[in-house]
Amino acid sequence: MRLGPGHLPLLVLLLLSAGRAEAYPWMIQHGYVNCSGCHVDPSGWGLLTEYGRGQDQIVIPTLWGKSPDNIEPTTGIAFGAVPLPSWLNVGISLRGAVLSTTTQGTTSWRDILMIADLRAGITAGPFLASVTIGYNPTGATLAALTNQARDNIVSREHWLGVRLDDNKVYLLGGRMNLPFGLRNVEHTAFVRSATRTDTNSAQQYGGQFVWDGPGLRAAIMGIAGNFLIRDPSYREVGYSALLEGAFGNDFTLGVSSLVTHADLGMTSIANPFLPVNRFFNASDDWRQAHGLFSRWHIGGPWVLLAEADLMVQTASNVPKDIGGAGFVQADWEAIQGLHFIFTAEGLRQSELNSYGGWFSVSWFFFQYCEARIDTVFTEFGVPGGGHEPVFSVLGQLHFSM
Amino acid sequence: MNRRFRFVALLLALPFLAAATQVTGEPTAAFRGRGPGGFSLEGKTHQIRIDDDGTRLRVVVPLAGLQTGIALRDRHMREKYLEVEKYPDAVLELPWSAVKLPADGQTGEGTAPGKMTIHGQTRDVQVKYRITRTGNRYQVIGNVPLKLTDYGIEQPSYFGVSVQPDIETTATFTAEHT
Repeated sequence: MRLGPGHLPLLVLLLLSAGRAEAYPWMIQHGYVNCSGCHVDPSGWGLLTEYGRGQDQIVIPTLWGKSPDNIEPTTGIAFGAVPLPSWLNVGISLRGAVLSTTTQGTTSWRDILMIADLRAGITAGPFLASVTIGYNPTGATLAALTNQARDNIVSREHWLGVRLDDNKVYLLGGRMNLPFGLRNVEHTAFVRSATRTDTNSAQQYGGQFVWDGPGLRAAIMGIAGNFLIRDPSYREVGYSALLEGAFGNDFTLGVSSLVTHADLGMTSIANPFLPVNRFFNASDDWRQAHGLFSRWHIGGPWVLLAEADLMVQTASNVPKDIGGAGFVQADWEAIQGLHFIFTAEGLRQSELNSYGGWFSVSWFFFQYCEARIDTVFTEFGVPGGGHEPVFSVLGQLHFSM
Repeated sequence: MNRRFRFVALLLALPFLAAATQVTGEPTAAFRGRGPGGFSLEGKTHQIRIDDDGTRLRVVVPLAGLQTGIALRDRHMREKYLEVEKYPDAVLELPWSAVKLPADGQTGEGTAPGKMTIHGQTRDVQVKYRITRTGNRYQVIGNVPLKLTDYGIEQPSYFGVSVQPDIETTATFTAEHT
């Protein structure tokens, strides 16, 4: 199917509305430069360990007058009603949203079930595993186990692994998030969508080596392809890697690199105003992304996150595309649980420049519960010059434990 | 009469000798602990007191002000592990004879034997120091590795994550020494 102007509102909605997961790089505010203490995935995101479930109750939500040094977290789920053995990790994530999008003088509204996932995993001695299974009515098709136009069963990750040397070395295999850049929640940010490294559905099958040591974490994943894509011609093989150094517990600087090859190029919706992606169905499609990223706890309640990526794409009989994506975000936690988030981003892809600014308020108003509003203004570059403005407001309610 | 005068003069001078080293600016005492994998935590306080009797330098750190960035963890550290109500201070004692002060405008480094008292227990330690001198101002960085269990402190552990008993402690301050 070739995309045309008639599909534009749908594309914009898809771009702005697909499901999100949880990963909070601003946890560096509490001195956490590594992710493996709290998450089963040593590079962060999703299912929490026993320690993570404790931190989820201590440092994430608003405490409503409780003294922060007088919390009594439980390691069980459902507010402690269901105890769990320390090796078993279970979670649930439900996120519903209402999205308003204004573009080309038209405002459209849509309610979305963004994520409805069950998660389970084990962290038993050297062995670990993680699996999610969920329902998605419209998005996350790259993670769909079923093959419907809508209403699919999705599994974003399912992998097995071992950890060695006092949990410094991990060997993982299965469907996993790609180790690349910031693992931020805004999966539609250009740095995630254009590099196809988001946590919504861009996971790939492969094997991963992770080093999670003091002051340094590194991961390299050999990508065998996304086997949930039915046509093998579109599956990408290659690698994705990152290396991040921590300078104290307040600042990190990392590099990322990704190179993939597919027999046929996939379509991309990083810029919905691009009527034809010239790499879609082009043969011998090579995609590269290389970049820098950083997390910095400036002091007090302020955290700065930044990422810049160079992107190169080539294919047979198609002009090479050299572009890039950038992202800067300041997170101000005014009181515990209440975050005011300021984001600026840019994208150059297919010789078109796009810019965006976000203002978001994220409030973890109660244990396991988040309300969030994102106001996003984006100037998408359009062929022939000029920009098309899009303004969207996304209100979400999220329950995760 | 002359001998009595000298004795009175010495008594009068003692408080000034005791204050021969005074901290200026904001000092920092910190520790860094490690857990499994890349897990680490840092604790920090800006309360440091220096006592100098002319022969020994005592660096005193009140532990009640130590903060790790998470209030609940701080309370566990104070109450369960350091038992700050019973043992409020960490004290490092160094003989002046073991410290080499650099010449004006110079930086000196060295290792000196000292005694560390934490949790009511005193152990011999080796102090690595780096001192930069400008006139009578001295910028000091000192490091002491220590093992919590040597001081009768239980290995910290919380929800499946244990901090290794070997930690690194650091004191950074600027002092005027006369």
